[in-house]
Amino acid sequence: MTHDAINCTAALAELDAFLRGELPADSVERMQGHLDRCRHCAQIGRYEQAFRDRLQRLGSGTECPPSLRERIATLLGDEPRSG
Amino acid sequence: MSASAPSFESEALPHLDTLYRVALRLTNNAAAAEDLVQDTMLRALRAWGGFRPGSNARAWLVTILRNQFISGWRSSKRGAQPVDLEAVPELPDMDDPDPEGRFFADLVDDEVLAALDALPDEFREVVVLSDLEGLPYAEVAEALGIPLGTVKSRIFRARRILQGQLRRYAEESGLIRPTEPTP
Repeated sequence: MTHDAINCTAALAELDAFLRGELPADSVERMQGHLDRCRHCAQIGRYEQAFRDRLQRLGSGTECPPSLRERIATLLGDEPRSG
Repeated sequence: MSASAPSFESEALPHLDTLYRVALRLTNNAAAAEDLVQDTMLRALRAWGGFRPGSNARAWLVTILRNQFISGWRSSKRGAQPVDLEAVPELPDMDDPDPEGRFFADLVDDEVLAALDALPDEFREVVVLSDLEGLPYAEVAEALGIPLGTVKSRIFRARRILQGQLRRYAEESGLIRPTEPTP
């Protein structure tokens, strides 16, 4: 076990940043080390990840309808510009 | 106008998909979302002179969209049942029937959307921007005009409340068995 291991409280406090990929590399290593050792934190990590994956799926695949794009392009073309 | 100044179109149009999705989640209605995005783009064009080149156009546009939503749309929509903001559900423990949340993947869009829509606007918007659209917290804070700490605390509560609601859907639809026997 490395001497800079983190405990569960510290790991859970950083879990969000870890899942978002916003932890610095050395913290990622410590976090990964903790998750490899701690079944409870690993379980919470997988639960949070499953939740986020599901939400992300809602956002993907929906695009601005082409008809709206065209309408906006026309409106912008008609708008008087300053400068 | 300087030749190097970016045009409104080049800065704003790449964000139309994001704006449309955010509008859709705020209004929960495709026609209303289209009108909201159209209003937003017109308003943004008229305010374009105040945009600082090099600053975050996406956050700027989301701010305008949200202000339009608040002033024109929020009052006329939704009768979702209120959620209990005080009762923030706990995370599942190791004894939970589905401790790793496999049920999330099996929920249909309508259930997830219904849970999302039941959140109060200020909670829903942080989830939409952060977890659906993937905006960094700093950009969410900028778009909503609230401190970073407020973004983090709201997203924390919003996620827990959503998780609790989705778990109830999963139990009701038999994806997981209830954690407590019903009387």
